[in-house]
Amino acid sequence: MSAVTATSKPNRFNTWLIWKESCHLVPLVMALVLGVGMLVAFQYWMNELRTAEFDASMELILLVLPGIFATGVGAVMVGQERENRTIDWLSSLPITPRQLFVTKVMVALAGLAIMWLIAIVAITVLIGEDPHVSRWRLTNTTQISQKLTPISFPLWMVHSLFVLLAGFYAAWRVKNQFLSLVALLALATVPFLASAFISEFGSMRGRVYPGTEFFVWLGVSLILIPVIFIAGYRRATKVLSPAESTTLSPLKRLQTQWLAAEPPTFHSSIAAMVWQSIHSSWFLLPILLALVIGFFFAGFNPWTRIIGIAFAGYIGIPLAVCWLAVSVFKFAGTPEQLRFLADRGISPTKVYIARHAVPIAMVASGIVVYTMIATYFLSSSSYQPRSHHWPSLLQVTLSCAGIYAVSQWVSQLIRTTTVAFCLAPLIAISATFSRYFHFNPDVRWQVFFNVLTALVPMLVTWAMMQRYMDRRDSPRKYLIVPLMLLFFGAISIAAIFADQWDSISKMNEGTVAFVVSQREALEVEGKRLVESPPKYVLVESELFDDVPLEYSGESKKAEAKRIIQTDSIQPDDLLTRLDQLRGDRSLAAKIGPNAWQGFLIWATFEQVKFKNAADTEAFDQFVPWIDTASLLTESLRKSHRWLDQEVADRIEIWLAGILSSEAMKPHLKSDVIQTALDRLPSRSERNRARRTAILASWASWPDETEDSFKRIYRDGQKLLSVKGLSLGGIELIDAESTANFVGMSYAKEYHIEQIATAALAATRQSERGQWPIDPNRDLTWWERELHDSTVASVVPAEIGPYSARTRSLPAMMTLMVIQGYPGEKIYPAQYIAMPWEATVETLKESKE
Amino acid sequence: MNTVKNSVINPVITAESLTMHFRRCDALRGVDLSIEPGTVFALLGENGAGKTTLIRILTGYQKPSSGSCRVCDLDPTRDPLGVRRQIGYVSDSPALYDWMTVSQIGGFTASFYDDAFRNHFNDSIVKYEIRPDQKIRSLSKGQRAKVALSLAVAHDPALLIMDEPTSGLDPKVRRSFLESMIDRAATGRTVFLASHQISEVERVADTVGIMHQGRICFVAPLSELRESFSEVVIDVEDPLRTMPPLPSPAVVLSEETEGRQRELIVRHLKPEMIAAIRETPGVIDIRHRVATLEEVFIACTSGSLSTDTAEATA
Repeated sequence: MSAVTATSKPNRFNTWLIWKESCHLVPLVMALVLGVGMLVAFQYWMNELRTAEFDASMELILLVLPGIFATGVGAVMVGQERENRTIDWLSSLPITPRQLFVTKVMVALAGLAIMWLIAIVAITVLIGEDPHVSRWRLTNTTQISQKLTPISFPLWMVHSLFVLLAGFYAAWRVKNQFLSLVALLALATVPFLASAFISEFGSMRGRVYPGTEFFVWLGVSLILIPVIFIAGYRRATKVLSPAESTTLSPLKRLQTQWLAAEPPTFHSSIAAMVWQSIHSSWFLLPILLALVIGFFFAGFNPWTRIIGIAFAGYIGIPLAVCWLAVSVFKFAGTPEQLRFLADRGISPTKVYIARHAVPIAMVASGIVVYTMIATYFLSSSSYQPRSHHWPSLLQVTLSCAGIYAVSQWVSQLIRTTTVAFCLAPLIAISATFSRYFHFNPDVRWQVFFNVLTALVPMLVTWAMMQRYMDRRDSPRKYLIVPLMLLFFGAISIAAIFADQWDSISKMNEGTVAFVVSQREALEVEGKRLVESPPKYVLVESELFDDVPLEYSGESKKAEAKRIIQTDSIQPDDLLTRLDQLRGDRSLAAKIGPNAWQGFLIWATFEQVKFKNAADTEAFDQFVPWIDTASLLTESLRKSHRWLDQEVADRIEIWLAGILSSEAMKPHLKSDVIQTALDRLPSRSERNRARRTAILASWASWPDETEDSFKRIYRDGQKLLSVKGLSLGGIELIDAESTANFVGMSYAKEYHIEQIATAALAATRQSERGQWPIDPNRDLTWWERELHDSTVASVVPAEIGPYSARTRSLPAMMTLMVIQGYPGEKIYPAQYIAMPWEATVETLKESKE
Repeated sequence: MNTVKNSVINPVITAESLTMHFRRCDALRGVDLSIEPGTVFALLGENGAGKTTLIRILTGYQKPSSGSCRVCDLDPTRDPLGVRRQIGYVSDSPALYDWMTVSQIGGFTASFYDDAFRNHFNDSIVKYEIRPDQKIRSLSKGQRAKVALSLAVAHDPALLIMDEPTSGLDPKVRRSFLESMIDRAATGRTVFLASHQISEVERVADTVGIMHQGRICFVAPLSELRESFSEVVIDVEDPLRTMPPLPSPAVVLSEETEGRQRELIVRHLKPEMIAAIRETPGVIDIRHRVATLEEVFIACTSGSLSTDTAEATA
């Protein structure tokens, strides 16, 4: 033949190829940076306060950059080329599969490194170092069930590398971008599932070593990285090599028969389009399955506890809803595909309805399944569900509607399939859940706002439908973006105001005026108090530090036996720095959690010994406890920390109980008792001290020294450590609720205001001497407000700690029931405006 | 331009008994083909005849179910990259990176070839009056075809394979484009053209192959084809009366009856056969002329005779 020299350079380092691959990534990177930037800005906007939860959520948001990049890069660099058929043209050039594969992976790795760099720099600049543990440690030190804050960078880097390579493998393996994304998600969870199963296996055998799961996770990821790389390379080589002649698999044959079935006679054009939608998007069925499974695992049911993959519910449901919505304007819903209908003059509204019909039907089916499962579990006598684990039907419907609406808008906005599938969950879930901390189904405005959030994006896409079908929507749709973002922001703000207005509307005029006046007081008096704190003495107890955290029945018995056998223990043995308080009466006491609880328990035990003996010798031995209690009360009342006032209330309750008892009557005239009565505050002094502390704590919130703590508690076989929301040293929110929602943003400052103003109202009632004892009375607004703000939603207000029933009982009785060790929950202002205050007044009057 | 290095006459493309079975159809049913270098070969065939499948096999995108082929002395199934280095390929709907500019796609493609590529590409773009800074997505269909063609020929390949290359081109550009094909053949390069634009094939092709239902009905030089196919019109007294068959070597590709008139496309028609027909009882008159390529193509690809005649004419 007459061969012509067509020289080529297939193996050299090809900068143009690198340039081309890099350009491919630009839309993904831009969308990610923009999306994450908006979320960060949104977080700063919504949260004026930089709490630990804020830092955690920021860290998670910033780590979305490398996370979603790793997830989407394979689909963008390979899937998109395959879908657009540019890979055919590319492979017509003299380029080896190896060169193409390696170049793509190298560019992706460089991109991932840049994403990590951006994330790390942003985390360092915006959040700073974590005070507790380095983010660069290899693994976490405890179990996966614990919150991953701060996240171990090395672990996530390794995992993101695995996800990136798995993404390439999936994209070479599955031509359809969406299905390859689903396959990638399944692959990406393999290391996690392996560690979860190892953990579960270890738990069953009773051997779980700290960090085991993370080492398994890391190990499995490291093993899978070369495996998935080679698998991806082999698959790429196969795709880029001449195609084999194929035979029909039984599954494909079945699918072919199904697809080839004679279409029915349609009586409307919408019916025909729905039929086309179902047949063109058969892969939506697995999503429906995921949706159902997601709902199934959503609740805190016994199976999720066993399997330990409750995340499937929390992640699976929103993701499934989101992707169903994205599918509306992808696949057969792209402008190119809809052109067929546009050319035939089909009404955009009809197309719009037909495209939405199947996804909406699937979401609705999921909600029905959820309702059935939730109803079963909530009515099951053998299972004690918590209502916040099973959101109401209204809440689920509105959540799904919100996520669906925003996602389908994002889908219409973003042309690139992969970018839309990656970005839509981020935007939709953020936009929807940002309102949920103000969501109260009883408030009609809240329901209205949620309906509006779902309705507006749906109307926007409907309005754009004609232009979208005609492919002339570009300028306008981008103009709508800022408007939509403003809309989402406005709705979130409106939801907060509605929530506040709802609270205010429940108050009478006097109460509203009171709340307003307290806000003003915060500005003036609160700030002044923060600037002039008293001189503190920290009272602690070292005696309880070595008590095991897991305080079983056996250890309780042993501890009680040890106490009984102790010859004599004095308050000074138990508490530190009492001398300083005695020496300088102007000092304020700040008391540690172990100290005050230990003191009350021990003092009560001494009280029992005194009552049992009821002689002079026993009184002499018991007197130091009364003296110390009164000293503590006096000193704690000087503190500007709210927790100290709560402790002072409890110690006063104990004092009121013992001093008004029959056993104490013969000793009331003794000097020690007289001194103790002198030290107890008058009604106005007590309420002034309370008010001062509440205002000071409110004004200084969040005080890192007081309000940053980790609560350790036992949940089944696991020890959980949870950061709680606190005010003036008092933990405010049910620890488990906090655990579930850590990382989410909501207006904590408003929450704090609710609690503080309600407590101030309680002090006002106490000041007026209104101490109701009727167990059947209605709750005051502040009691209800405190209940709503601090008690787990499963507890009705009528039987909660602020209920008329509870508050009509003797305070000492409820104190001992609630009291425990280690520290059980303190409900703020729980003992304000109760009859024990009258007892103290009577005792003081009797002295005078 | 690169020079012709080898003057040994080996076929640029050979195919032997190529078959291709897809899931629900047989795209190729035993294709035999041999294309000489320095020719413009046009493969004609109706839609679904198997042209694109044959091209995909020749360019190494698809492995055949059976049979073998060689392109530029290389086996495309074993060394697809080697083949692609030697050839230029323009598919029926080239998927170019629409986000690149014309200049960028030229630079990008040039990175896989020698340094002359870019200059040739730029010259070609200038010739086709396309602005280099235009994005691919903003080009018209015809302009895209021009860019794709420029990319395919800029490295001066030994063999240029094109699948429906002129669809979307205006007549002026089409003519210029076709002339460039002739120029390429004149310099020893080979052009393989799959098309159903018979007029353009007639204008440029040296050799024509007609493909029908996965088989090549016949392959012949255009000049031979013109000489060997005739249209014969016979006026008869009684249309129901049977005519005696034409003697060998004549082959009737198609036969149509309209009233008292019979029209036949015949290959290898001899003057004595005309005389014999004229003498046949019941024949009033007989006229004959050289058949056009279109008439030959239609005769080969339609009617009950087409499949049978494929065997005889190939």
